[in-house]
Amino acid sequence: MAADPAPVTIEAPVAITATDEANTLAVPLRAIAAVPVEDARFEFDSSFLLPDATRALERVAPLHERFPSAPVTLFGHADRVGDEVYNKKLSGRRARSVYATLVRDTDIWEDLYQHPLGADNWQGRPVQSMLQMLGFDPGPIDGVIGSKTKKAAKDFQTAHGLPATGNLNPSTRQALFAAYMDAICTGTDGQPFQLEPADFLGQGLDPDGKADYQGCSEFNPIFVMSKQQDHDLSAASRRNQRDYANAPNRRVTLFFIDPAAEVVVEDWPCPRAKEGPAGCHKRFWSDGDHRLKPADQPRRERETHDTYACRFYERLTLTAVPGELEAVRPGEVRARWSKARVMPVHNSTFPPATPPTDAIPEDCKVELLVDTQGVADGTPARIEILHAQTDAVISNGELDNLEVRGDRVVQPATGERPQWQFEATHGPWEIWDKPLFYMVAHVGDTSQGESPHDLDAEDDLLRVCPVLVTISDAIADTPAGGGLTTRDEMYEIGNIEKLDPARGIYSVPFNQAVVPIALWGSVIRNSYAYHQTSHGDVRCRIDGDQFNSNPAGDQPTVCPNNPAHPGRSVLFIGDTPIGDTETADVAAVPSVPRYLVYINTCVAGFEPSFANAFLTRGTRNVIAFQKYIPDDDAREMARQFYRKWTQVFRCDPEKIPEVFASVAPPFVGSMKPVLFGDGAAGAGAAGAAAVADALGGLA
Amino acid sequence: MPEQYTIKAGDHLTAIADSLGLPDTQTILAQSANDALGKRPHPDMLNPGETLTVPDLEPLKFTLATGKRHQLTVNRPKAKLCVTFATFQGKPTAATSAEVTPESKPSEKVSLDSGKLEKKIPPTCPQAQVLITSPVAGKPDIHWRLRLGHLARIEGDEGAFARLRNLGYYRAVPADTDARERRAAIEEFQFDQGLTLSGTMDDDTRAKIEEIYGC
Repeated sequence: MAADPAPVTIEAPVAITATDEANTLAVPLRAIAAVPVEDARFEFDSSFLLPDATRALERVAPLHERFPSAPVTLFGHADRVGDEVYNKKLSGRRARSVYATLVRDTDIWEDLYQHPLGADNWQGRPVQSMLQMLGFDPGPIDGVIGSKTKKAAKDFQTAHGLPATGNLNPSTRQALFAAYMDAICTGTDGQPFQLEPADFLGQGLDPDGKADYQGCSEFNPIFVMSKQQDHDLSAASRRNQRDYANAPNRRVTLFFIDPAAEVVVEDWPCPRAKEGPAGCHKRFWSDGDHRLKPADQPRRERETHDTYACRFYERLTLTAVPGELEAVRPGEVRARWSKARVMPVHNSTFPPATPPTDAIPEDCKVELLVDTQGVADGTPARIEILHAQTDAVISNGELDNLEVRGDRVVQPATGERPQWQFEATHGPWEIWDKPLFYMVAHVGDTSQGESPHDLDAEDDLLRVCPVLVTISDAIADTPAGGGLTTRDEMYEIGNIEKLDPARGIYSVPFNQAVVPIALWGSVIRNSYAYHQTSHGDVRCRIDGDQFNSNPAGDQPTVCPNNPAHPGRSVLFIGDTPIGDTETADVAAVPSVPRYLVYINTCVAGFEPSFANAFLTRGTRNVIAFQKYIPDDDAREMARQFYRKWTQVFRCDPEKIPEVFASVAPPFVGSMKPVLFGDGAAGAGAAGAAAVADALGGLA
Repeated sequence: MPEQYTIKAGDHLTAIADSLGLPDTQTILAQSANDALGKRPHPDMLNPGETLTVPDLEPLKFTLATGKRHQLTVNRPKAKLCVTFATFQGKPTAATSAEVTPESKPSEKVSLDSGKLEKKIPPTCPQAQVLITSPVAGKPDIHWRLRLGHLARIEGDEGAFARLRNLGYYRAVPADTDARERRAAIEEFQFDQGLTLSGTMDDDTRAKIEEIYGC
């Protein structure tokens, strides 16, 4: 702690009386800064901190430097799923896990390791993640401590001077925890950063962390869904969506407390992390229970101020004097967004409208508010949009020809402020990057204004919610989708529940949807991956003959009725061919998925030229099938593929071939799955055939 | 003829008595026109805009021998600053002493008895600084800038919330109308005192605030 913190001045009116009656003065308790550690920083349903917790933890060091005498306290939060007693424990475990990381208390982690709670089990995937992060490859992060994990453990032991047994024994775990904590808990300089127990509110004096860290169970959500949403998502099959909507509520928040407040630790109102929720209920608002219940409208704490059930927690988060925007001074340019969050084009609602249309909803538009002062009308202006993490410019000259009119930057043609719409092609951010953006406005030759772009203040940045996986069972003019795969099955097969919206990994399912080819591009243009389970036919493009009359055999690539039509087979949906010509049509399909197209058709799907149409335009991989595919096999392989790709590899595109190779072999006989693109043995059909060869020798 | 006096910000009965040259507040309270004031539990506290009747000053008459030097003593009313410093959880502060500086007077170190400070001050002193040095290392010193006589009466919302604010419950700036903050302060206080959680400034709550605050 700092020796001489600056004195604090507080003004107070007091009474002067003729008697000895006293006034009573106390310094109020308040938080002066906060750092959220979001759900995405934790392993799913677990208290284990993932490697990218660094992004949150590195914000602690500068605040500690700025407020050295401000004690810290941690609040863990769970969502409403599960009972409050369990959630109290889970939220407490998460807070404790962060506390242990900050003070480097490996014994706490050992305790969490030794005592799993429900799905919160550190004995499988967490140790693998730690080894992997520290550069010791444990193989797939699958929770199975197999030979590769043991080898990694051995290497770790050798590197740390421990007996190389390959067993994750207690001394190895201590060393592993310590090394991992140092790796993820750093300052902005990348060097390990830690706090002392004395830096916390309870000063580490209570063995169970009274006032140092606590769990709020499910009592202080940031977001409470509406009755309708709650009802819609209550079915077991919609669990994934419910968890998606609740992601912001699962978090740990670190508060710096005003050091002027005098806190008696034993009087601290919050029960200890391991205690039950009774003490929490005591601190509820008089309408606390009501606040947690869904109402007619969805509610957000930031907007409606009525989602925290705990009065004490809410008071802690209130600030005494709300900050006021300074006025713009002459010659200054100020830039800000009209909203804090946009959806990319055509994915404006979750779940999206079915079928999607070509209209661009308001949710997808953001206005760029650039205000000037004392700049002449007609002064040329341009705006750049940049990715907040990489500073990469993602606007492509579209916002170059603007001008100043009446103290604001406008589009010359309309006189209105410029608008912008995000699409997936507005990379180069990667799926694991935060989709946060800022803008720089250049006015005339000299003036420049930037919207805030401090990652510490995410609320000032523009958050875009990209869609990772679009799943469809119909993409063209067929009678409603064929209906062979229900929406719930699509959720389950696509492993959507395990996708991670907090990382910006979203997914959109369509089924029973009739989406004409003209809109196809709209559906998938914002997707990183596109999975198609369409009910379609393969026909000869020239004479329209259907090929899929021989369900048990390989799909012919030569028109059976006319050998003069080799290579002219094409996927038809209804009367519409969807082949290389159609998918290569930039007008119809303005952009293609970046990483994957998975053609999981139930009748026919192997169409090399079709795959190549995607590959040549930038999609990394295409998966298709060379044989008639039985429904159950098709679903099972897709299920296994997505489970592994999304859950084990967190949608890492480089892992697509590896995942394909590991899940495809059992299905070679029935479906002959083929991978096109990167990681396939060669380009196009030849490469696909080579992979099929390698898998089963069936080419 | 007794005169009407309109209360200004910062006025309290002792200061008024002193500025009028009265030896104590009794002379004012003895005015029959001030009966209602005299019946208040805290007649010392006055809100700006209130009026009271002040007695005429009768010239003091002394019969003194000439050719001698006399020392005349004028009795002035006594005023005392009484403050208990507490934690926001209602316990006395751990600090054991304070440095008090009434405006335009020298500083004086005063010990705190269970957080309580008592210090004689000039009756018309408008402001006093109290410096509390935390006994805990690393804690900042607190400069309390006390505006004497500025606490409004408990009967109005201004006075009630000013007390909640002094007690550490209500942190909004005076002009603030944040209903949420007010409700939070009231409920938190009601909870701490075992009152029914109503979220509104009801009579029980007001009475309890007065009791806990001290006046």
